[in-house]
Amino acid sequence: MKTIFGLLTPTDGTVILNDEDIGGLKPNQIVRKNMSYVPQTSNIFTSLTVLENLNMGAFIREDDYSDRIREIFQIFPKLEGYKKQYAGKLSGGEQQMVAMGRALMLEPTVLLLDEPSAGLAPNLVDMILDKVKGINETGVALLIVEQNAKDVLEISDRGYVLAMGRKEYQDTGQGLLENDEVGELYLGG
Amino acid sequence: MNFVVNGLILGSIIALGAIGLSLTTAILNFYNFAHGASLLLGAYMGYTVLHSFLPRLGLEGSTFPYLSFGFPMIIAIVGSMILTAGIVILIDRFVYKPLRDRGSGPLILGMSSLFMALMIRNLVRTIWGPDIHYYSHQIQMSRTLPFGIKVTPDQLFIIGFTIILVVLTQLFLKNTKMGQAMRAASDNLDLAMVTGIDTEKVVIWTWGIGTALAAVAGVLYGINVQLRPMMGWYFLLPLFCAVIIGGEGNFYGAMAGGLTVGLAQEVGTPLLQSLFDSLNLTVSMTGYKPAIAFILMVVVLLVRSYREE
Repeated sequence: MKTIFGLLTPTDGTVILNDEDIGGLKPNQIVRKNMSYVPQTSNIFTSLTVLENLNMGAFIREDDYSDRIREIFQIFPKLEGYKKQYAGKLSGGEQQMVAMGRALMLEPTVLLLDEPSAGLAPNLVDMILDKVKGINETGVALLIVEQNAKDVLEISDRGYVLAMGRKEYQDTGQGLLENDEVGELYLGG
Repeated sequence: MNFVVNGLILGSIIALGAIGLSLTTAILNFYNFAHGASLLLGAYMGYTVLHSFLPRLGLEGSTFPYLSFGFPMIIAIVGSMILTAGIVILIDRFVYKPLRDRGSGPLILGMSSLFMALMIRNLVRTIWGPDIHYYSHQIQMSRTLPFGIKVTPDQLFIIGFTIILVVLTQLFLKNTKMGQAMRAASDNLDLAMVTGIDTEKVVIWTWGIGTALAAVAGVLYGINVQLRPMMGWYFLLPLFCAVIIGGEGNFYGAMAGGLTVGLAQEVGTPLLQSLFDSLNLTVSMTGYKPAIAFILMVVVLLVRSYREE
């Protein structure tokens, strides 16, 4: 995922977004291609307020993006009450919402999520995945890397199983869930 | 009691310098040993503006009531901020940026900043000479405030001016897009990059603001004491101490750290002196002022809990 987003340089293969090769571009060039990225860890600015985090998400926008902030607060109503709070003081689930909100500020067409459920309590995982589904329904394509594969596959259109960096299986999310081999090897039966 | 006032004055000057050092340390991820040289350069730039540029424009001589300087000094401060910041931004473009682009680590960058510090100090010595300079030769009478505090009007100006600058810097960091981006970059540089923040622009602003504040600190020190080529070097230890006490990239931390170091040096020295005197030890503490900053830094490093990255 870091390679897709230009933090690491690809040694082999290509990264194609909307028919354009973006391999080797820098992150600040990639965000202009309507793709955003939520890293797995330290994905918020802890010493900035929730609102400032969203402002930073819109750093490259020159227009008035106050409507977008309102939309983000509609997706994550909880954040509106905390907008003046320092993001580092929020709970894990709330921080994940800030991170996704920040990434959505540029109205991306593709959103990369790296382990969105990592370190969250089970009920929060459901909540976050609910939000992910909601974001997807607004027309944003999502690419998710997730250890907690069962839950994510349930809401995925397509799934890929990677082992040692190679693609082993590829199917619809539901298809992979029903695949006995994948179930036995990767999903724990 | 007067030691406290002296400590506050020195502390204000260190705090102004430490804010810039703290920001560059966090955002550029190396210890800029040339930050003391920014204070030095700032002080001498102020001197040149005050005594070479402004007299040619017919601006000299006038003084504010009570103070040892007048409006030209304010122009000199602003001029020094702009000139010094410009020079340091150029140094970044021609020295640090090529190194950053090549992926040089903190050690290489730190060492090159050390060489820049030596170069700037010797350039200052070559251009302005090794002698001590003063902005004004006027002798100021100190006034006695309540509680027997003795203070010169110039010193009150230094504290007041520092407060104004700190408030302005804070407003900038809090309320402007670039200010927020600087805080974001010092908080989490990788995330700032993937968020699309133009980190090179942030770097230039960081050098600019940090150096401008250091330049003012240098001029204020010049007003309070004197100008000499070694002044930047002597400030380096207290500055680093303030940054380490306050935590890298922490605005309030740098300020509090600066005041703490200033107070510790000015109050700690006479306290230890009287302790040694009472023990009949013939030790003169005045030469050991920077040692107090150093001891403070070591204690903080030993006691502080570390954040896991």
